[in-house]
Amino acid sequence: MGAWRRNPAQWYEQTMVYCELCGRVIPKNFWVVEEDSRELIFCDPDCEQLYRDYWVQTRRQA
Amino acid sequence: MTAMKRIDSVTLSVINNALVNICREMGTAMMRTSYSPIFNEGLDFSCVIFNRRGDMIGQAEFCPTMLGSAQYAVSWTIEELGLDSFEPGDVVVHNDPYRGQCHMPEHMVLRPVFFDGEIWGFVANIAHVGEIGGMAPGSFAADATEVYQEGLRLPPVKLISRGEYVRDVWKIILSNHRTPKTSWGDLHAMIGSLGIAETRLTGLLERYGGHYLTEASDRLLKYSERWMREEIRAIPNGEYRASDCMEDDGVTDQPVWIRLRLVVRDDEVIADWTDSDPQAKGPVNATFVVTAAASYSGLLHVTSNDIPRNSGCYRPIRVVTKPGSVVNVRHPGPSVGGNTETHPHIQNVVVAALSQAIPDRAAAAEGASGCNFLFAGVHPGTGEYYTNYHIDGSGWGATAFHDGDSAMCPENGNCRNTPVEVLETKFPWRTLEYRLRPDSGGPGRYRGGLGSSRILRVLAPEITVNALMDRTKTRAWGLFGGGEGGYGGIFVKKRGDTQFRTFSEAFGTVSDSKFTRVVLREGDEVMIHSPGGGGYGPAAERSMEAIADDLRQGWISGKAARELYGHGRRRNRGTRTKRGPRTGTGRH
Repeated sequence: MGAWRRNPAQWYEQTMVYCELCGRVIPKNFWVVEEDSRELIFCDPDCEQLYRDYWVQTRRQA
Repeated sequence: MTAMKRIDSVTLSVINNALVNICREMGTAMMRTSYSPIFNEGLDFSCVIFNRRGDMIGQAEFCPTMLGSAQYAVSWTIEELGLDSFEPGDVVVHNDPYRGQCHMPEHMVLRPVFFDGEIWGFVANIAHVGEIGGMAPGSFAADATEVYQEGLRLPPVKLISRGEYVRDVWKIILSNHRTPKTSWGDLHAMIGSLGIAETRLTGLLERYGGHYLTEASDRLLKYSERWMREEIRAIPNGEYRASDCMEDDGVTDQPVWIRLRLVVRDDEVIADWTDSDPQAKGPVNATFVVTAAASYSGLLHVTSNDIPRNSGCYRPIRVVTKPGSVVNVRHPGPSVGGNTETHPHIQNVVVAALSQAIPDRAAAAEGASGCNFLFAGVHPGTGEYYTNYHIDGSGWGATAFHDGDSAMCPENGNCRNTPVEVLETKFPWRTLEYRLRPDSGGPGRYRGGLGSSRILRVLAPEITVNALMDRTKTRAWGLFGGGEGGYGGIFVKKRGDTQFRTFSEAFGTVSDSKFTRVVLREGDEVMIHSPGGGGYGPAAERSMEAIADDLRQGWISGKAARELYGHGRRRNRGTRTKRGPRTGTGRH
């Protein structure tokens, strides 16, 4: 189960957060899920879904 | 509460066309009012309309690279600033490649459109501002190793607030550009077009009502998505691979590889670029949005032209990249060439992968270089400092049913060449030659488009030049037995020399095709060869009529006609012979 979170970086900081699946830099709000005691960050639940359906199934396994 | 009128398909079509026409009118205004040739001749800009959620609901026939990336730039701006921060009369500017933009010269300006006291949507345009500071005049630093060398980076900030200039921001921008007067004019052309779009969109809102237009545009988004999903469903499921390389990155003399696994799953496509090379030292890196836009563009090339172009048609196309790679540069990597050179390579790779599934819809590779040539100096006639961003067209790839177009700007740009007369009137060059290059189109049943040759002589005491090209060591591939397109190149002949040499030979640049700040003197000459496109199908199957016409027009030489096409050895076999695909595509 994931949750929305806001990038805590201040306006004067350049902290870039990347989506685990698509690799995009995420503007402010990102979707966080926990997997194997590790936090995974996604753009939104759609990217998480594709991560599980595609990346985990076909690429990570390989 | 009044019931909403029913939205029939005719009205939906009328509204879609109205949105497209607003974008076209914005473009005409920019073309007619801008200062620099890259705007008013090159048409290197795109105009778009968004709803308040950040979905693109209208666009027109502009630059695919900007159109695909606009949705990221606009949605980033809305998310970073927040809807509450916008007021009537505001204009925000934004060019940050690390905030959803394509590369530094592409500036987006955006204006909120209010209706009934609240934001209904946004009108925006992205345009190539020809000089934004940085280490090289013209801001195309082919040997940059970080974004800070590429010019002034602007996060989303207000240029105009409630209709008033934010002078502090203007001062910062204009004092960092080498040609502030031109930037002033071009930025005002962009802002002026927003005013026209706001007026037209408000007229549409008054005619139909805010809720009705929101509902109609939502339906258009869903309609486009459904249509694109149906188009994808017609492509056989499977994994298709293709790859290509940038011949070097301007800093090191090594190729940089772009590799794709394209997965078609029912009504969805996954463009997985994660096998691509790590990001380059030089500026051929693409930002994520460039890769996404090129992936969209590749799909749009092989699907119906009639799908309304909006965010809906992009939704079934999923893009997967690895940060820190040539297809998704990490801060502070440079990326100016990623948008003009790497983008068309990425798009060509998508089409190459799809050619394995739908051969009759695919094209061979195009020249895929903007042949970016930038120059600066003091004009001897006016005493004023100038810079200019010049592009040349290359050959497009042939398809299953026609020859490739010749001397066309890359498909990702959809821009125009600058006429010789305009170039000579505004800048101290004399054009000695501008022609198509015979035999530069890849041979095939259908021939690749031809590249061009342009020779320019310096008329001023000195001109500083930069170049960022590709396909001078690699060539555009053919499909299904078609041959490769001709090499591109840029060469120099110093005054008194008898022949042209590469810039590496003459000036010691690392790359033949990517260099900055080379000073030429009066009488020196530059020769730009744009690359040709690949052919489609075996050359032996080209009709004798087409070969005879090529010879008559001078598109191919007698030697090529004999040796590549077998002219004189075979009888006319009429038009094409149907044959299926023989091999994989792209580079492996």
